[in-house]
Order: sequence, then C-alpha cells, then structure tokens
Amino acid sequence: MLSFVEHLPVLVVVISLLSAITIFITGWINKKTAWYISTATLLSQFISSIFILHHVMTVGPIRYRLGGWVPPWGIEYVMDALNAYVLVILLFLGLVCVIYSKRNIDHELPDKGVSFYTVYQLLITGLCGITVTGDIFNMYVFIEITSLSAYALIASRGKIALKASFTYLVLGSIGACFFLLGIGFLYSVTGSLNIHDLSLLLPPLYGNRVVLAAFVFFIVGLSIKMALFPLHTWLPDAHAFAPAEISAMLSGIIIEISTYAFIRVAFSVFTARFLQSLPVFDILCWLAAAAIIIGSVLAISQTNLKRMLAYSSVANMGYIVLALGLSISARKAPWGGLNPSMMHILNHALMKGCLFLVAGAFIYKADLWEIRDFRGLGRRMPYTCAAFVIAALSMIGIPPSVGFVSKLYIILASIEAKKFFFVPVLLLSSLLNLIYFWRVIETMYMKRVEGKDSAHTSHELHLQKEEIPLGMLAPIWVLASLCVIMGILWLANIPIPLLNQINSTFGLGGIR
Amino acid sequence: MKEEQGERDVIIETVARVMIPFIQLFALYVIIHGAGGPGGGFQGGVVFASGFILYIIAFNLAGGRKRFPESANTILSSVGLYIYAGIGLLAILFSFGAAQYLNYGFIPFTSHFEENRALGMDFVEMGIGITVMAIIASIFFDLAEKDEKQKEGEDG
Amino acid sequence: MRGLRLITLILIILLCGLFAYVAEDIPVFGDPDAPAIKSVELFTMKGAEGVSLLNRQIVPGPLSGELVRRGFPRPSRVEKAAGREGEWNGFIKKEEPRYAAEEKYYRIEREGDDLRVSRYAFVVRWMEKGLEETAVPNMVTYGLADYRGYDTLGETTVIFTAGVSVILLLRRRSRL
Repeated sequence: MLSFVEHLPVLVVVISLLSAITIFITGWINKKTAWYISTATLLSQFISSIFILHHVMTVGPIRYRLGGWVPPWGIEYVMDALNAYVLVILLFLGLVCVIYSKRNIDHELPDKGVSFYTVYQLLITGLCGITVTGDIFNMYVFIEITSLSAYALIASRGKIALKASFTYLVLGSIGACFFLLGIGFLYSVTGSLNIHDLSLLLPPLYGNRVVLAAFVFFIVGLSIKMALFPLHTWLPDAHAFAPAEISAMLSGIIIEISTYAFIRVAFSVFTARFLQSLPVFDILCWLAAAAIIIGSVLAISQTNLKRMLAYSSVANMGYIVLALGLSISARKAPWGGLNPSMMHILNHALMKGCLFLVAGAFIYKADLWEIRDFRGLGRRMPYTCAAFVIAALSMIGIPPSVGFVSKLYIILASIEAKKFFFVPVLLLSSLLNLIYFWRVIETMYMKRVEGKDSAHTSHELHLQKEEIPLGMLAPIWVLASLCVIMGILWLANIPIPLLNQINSTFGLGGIR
Repeated sequence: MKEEQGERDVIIETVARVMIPFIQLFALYVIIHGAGGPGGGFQGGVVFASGFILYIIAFNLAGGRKRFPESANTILSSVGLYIYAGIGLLAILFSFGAAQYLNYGFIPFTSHFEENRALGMDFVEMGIGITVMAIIASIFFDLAEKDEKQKEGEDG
Repeated sequence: MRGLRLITLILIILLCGLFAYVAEDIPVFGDPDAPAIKSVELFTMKGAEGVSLLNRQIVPGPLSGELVRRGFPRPSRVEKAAGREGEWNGFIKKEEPRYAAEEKYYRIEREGDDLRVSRYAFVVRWMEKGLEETAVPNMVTYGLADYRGYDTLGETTVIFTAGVSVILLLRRRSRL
C-alpha cells in the first residue's frame, strides 16, 4: 500500500496537465475562470511539493513505479533531495508569476487569456516532469513539452517576439536533438533508459567511445538549453520580448531546470568518479568564467532594461556552472560539493524573477523599455522601484542578501579547489554588476525629468504618483523580501542539512 | 482552395464525397485495431483528420467549419487527454491508492487482470486518437484561415 | 553565402570525423546479441568452481557478492537456460502486484574456465512475456501504451501543446 505522499510526485504532474485541459474547456465557456483554475492548481502543487520535500527529508527518497512496472521494464519516478528542492523552487516561482500575470495578461494579451494559461500550465507540467522523473527518455519527452510551450509563450507577445522565438526554436530543437542522440547512444550500448540503472551499467564502459560521445552530446545539448556562454545567443532576444512573467520564468526557472537536467545526467547517469577522470568540468569552469565576464560586459552596453537583465542571466548561468565545475574538487562543508550551485539556483530564481517582474511593471504602467526613460520613476512608482533596488543590490552582492551568499561561497569553493583565477573573476563581475545596476538606479532616483523646472516637476510628479495594482506589487515584494530573508537563512546555515543530503546522494562534499 | 463562384470541380467533389466516409471508417478501424495488429491512436487520429482536410480542400473552409465547429474541436482535443490521464487516475482510485498511476489492471472493466490491461490500452488509444484528430484538424483550420484572410487582404 | 557553405563543409567533416571515431564501438546494427536488444555484459568471474553450484541451482556466493557490490539486486535463484548448454538464467525478486514475484534478470554463461555475467535488456521481458501479461498480441502497442505508457501520455501532451500553441499564435477572433 502506497501512502498518499508517495503518489504526490505523479499527481503534481498529472494535476497540472488536467488543469491545462480543464482551462481549455472552461475557458471556452467563461474566459475569467482560466486564471483562477491556474492559480488554484499551482497553489495545490506548491503545497504538495512541500509535503514531498518533507517526506524526502524525514523518510527518504520516493520511488514510484508508473504503471506498476518495476524498472528497468517500466518508467520510474525518483524523488531525492535534489529533485524535491528544485521542485519547490520551480513551483514557488510559477505560483508567484501566475499571481502577477492576472493584471499583466489582461493588459498585454487581452483576448488570448485562455490559451495563454493553458500553455502556461503545460509549461509547468513539462518543468515538473523533467524534475521528478527517474527515466532519461521520459526526461526528454518533458523537455519537449517545456520547450514547445516556451516557444509559444515567448512568441505570444506578437510580431516583435516572433524572430526571438524562432531563433530559440531552431537552437532549442538542435539542443533537444543532441540530447536525444546522447540517449540513443547510451541505449545502444547499455540497453537501458532508467537513470539509476544506467549509473550501474555504465562503469565498465567508461572507456567506450560511444559513451564518451554520448556525454559530449549531453553537454552540448543541455548547454544550448541552459544558455552557457558560447551558446547563449538565443537568450537575450527571447528574454527581452517575452511577456514579463514568461521572462521571469525563462530566466529564473527554465534555463535552471536545464541545469538541473545537466546535474542529473552528470552525477546520476554518469558519476563523480567518471567526471574526475575527464577534464570536462575544468573546461566548464573556464567557459563559465568567460560567460561571467562577457555577459556582464555585454549587459553594460545595453540600453534596454530587459535585454540588460537577459545578459545578466548569461553571467548568472556562468555562476551556477562555475559552482558546478568546482563541485567535484571542493569538499568542505558549507561550500563543498553542489552547495554553491544549489544555492545560486534558488538565489537567481528569486533575484531575476523579481527584476523581470519589475521590468514588466514599468512596461505595464508606462510602456517604458529603455533605461534612459526611467527618469523620475523613483518618485512615480516608489514601491516598485524600492523592490528593484533591493534585488539589484542583491545581484551586486551587498551583505545579507542572497547574491552575497552565493558569491562568497563560490569564492571560498574556488580557494579550496586551489583555482585562484576565479576569485578575481568573481570580484570583477561584482564590480561590473555594480556598474550596470547603478546606472539604472541612478536614472530612476537622481536624474530629473527634462524640460521642466524642478519645483514644478516635483509638484507634478507628486500628483502623478501611479503605483501598479496590488496583485502585481505583492509578488514583486514577496520575491524582493525573500532576497534578504533567504540570504540571512543561508548565512545562518539553516537549510544546510538539505544541501548535505543532496551532496551525499552523489557522494560529493562529505567533510564537515 | 476552390472558391464557390463557378469554380467548383465536380470530379474532386464527387470523389471526396465518396472517399471521406471510407477514410474515416478506416481511421476508426486503425484506432480500434491498434491492439491486435498494426495501428494505434496516433496513426488513426491523423487519418481521421485527413478526412476533414480532404473535405476542406474539395469544398471550402466555411463548410468544413460548419461540419466540425470550433466548440466541438476545442472540447474533443481536451477530451482525448482527459480519457488518457483520467484512466491513469482511475487506477489509483479503484485500488484505493494501492496501485500506481496508469496501472490499468486495477480498473474493473472485467474480472480478469490481464483483460483489464488490454481494455485500458484500448481506451487509451482511443483517447490518443481523439486528441490527435482534433489537434491536427485545429492546426489545419488555423493555418487555412490565415491563408484565406491573406487572400482577402490581397483582393481588397 | 560562401562563408556559410564553408562552415557547412567544416561541420560535415567534423561530424564525419566524430562518426569515424565513435563507429568502432557502436554495436553492430541488426546484431541479435547487441546490448539494446539482448543483454549487456557486466563482468567476468575467474574460476569455474561456480559451475557445479550453478548446476545444482545454487547461486555462488562470490558472484552474488560481486553483483551486490556493484549495486545490482541480489539474485534469488538460478535456472538452466532451456536448450542451451553452459548457460543459466539468474532471477531476482520484484514487487509487482498480481504478477510473478520473480523475473529473469541475469544471464550467466560458461566461457572456458570463466563465468561471464550479463544482464538482460528490458526488451527481453517485453518480447517473452508481453502477451501473457497484457493480453495484447501487438508488441508495439503494449510497449507504447503499457510498459512505457507514461511516455505516450507525454507525447500526446506534446501534440496537444503544439495545437494550443498554434491557437495562441495564429487564431484571431476566437473565444480562446
């Protein structure tokens, strides 16, 4: 007899799918139901994901055999600490974004609401599926669902977003093809698709050329999906032209779920022992360092806020991959193993989610895209701008914020791994972050509106004070306050048992 | 696409009129027969939708929409997935949580466990067939409508 | 345009090189014993003393210990493979409601003085027991809709997503 919690991993995915098709039918009758169904589903999914995390932490991993077939004959869902942690982050940001989207979608896509929420719910289905699955072909199927719905959601804005979406479609399909080829290669030498099973069957075959080629295909395919530096070209346009909540999901979750898929492939299908025998992770470190510097420099040169944030995402993926690359050499407790990359996956979701939602708020209220048009916004939209400042300071890395924590731990990990080159890279990137975020903050608060004398301006602006509706402000402020609260929690080492459990699953870390 | 003013092609219309019932009957056969021989939901669904596509090519878009209205299209494309995902859930419900998702054997269609599996698969194939048929038709209608609108724009 | 052609040429040469590098280790297509179709080799045990134990249907201790050390399930019993000399099938216990509690999992072959242990691919069970377990004669159907039915639900969802995406992007004047 399975307990209710053990059914939850599959129910999280299936409820989301059922809700998508329910929205599709009820939306035909009444448009307004779409948002309510979507929010209710995401709320219940979020609560279930917390139950799953609790079960995984207290009882142990959940193994769920779909259709009753024991693996390797059937498909298996495996929930360990890594899955459960990523699932909670994903559903939390999904929930925040859907709450935000009520007013924003009414404004931006007034007559497309039903299909928007249907595809949004399908996106969540795909992301949950990638996260919970323990079967590599099943993971590919859900990557397909995620990518397809992401292409559609990016293009939903209309003409300006079509080219961005098409670029993403072409590159994303190439990435998915590489991933599928990798699966095919592994299947041709092992005859298995289950992740745990593959990790048992592969060790005698580590010298096999097909296995090496498969690993390279996985790296290339997932690097396209997670926008690692030389393959990031689809990202800026896609982030810039998508609706705000989709930009936030894209930057905060979709590319990070690809990182999760990469971690799963690298550490669960292959093992830490295999990775230590190859220089792959060293190469990834250097690519990540290049991504951090070049992403930040390109972000400085942007005039459009959302494009700037998109390049900042490229730099932040660099942080995650750098932390990942250091994970097999750094082993001491608070920063060893996967800890810094796991931290930054959550931290980046919070910060970038907040920043993109704020950028969406500017577009919603005043159709402002360019940074130079933000003059006086600090007085016109005080609460929104304050949230932006908090998230921006967090990106720069001011102490109790989340950005500070991840940078600190990545620096400590690179010192422990004796790769001192990355310390100045991270410090330099903080400086570059300061430059491009300070430019925005300065424009918002310190520059005066042109062509009017100051007394008149301040009077007029006082009258003009126009804040976004509460339904949009609340999600922004939840994320902004979490930027600080999570930072304090990380520094107080409260979530560390969870991260230790993740590390022990893969045999990383270990020295307390 | 033939316009209605005097450009109707008698041969195509007659052939289509005769062919469409057979195409759709064959599609149903492919879907139902999936368990015993070659066939299945995906293939049968596409064949069924090709019946609509032939109708639209032979006659016109508006007529096709009248035969297969948007509301039916919307509902059918969801219903197929409802059947599939719902059968999976029924397995959990009928066994009071003892069986896993999609464990067809526990759905009491008959008294025999393996027969239940076979029947479960049949229903699932029908679900796939319905969704694929509705979605292919929907995509074709959308593309064709776009095309027709562009033609109107060029004329006017 | 010429640059693009040059890049394409270089890419094709690179891919050919990769294929030439990898091809050596790709299992022969159509080989009935290829891992994907039949079984994948795990390890070879030295010494033939296990053979007599295997003939008496007892799992030799070192063999079982080595399997467990590698993370595989412990074999519950062995049985002579029907019609093949010097070959045994290892069974494992599995928990599947309403089905036999044991399933063929390992293949142990005698090779001179050594024992070669391999593991059956999952397809072997599909081929041998699919009909009796699912009452469907078509292997494609029961593979697609039963053993890996959840993947098919995903694929159907992919098609649904494509349809809704087209509605989102192209359809005008609709209630959706």
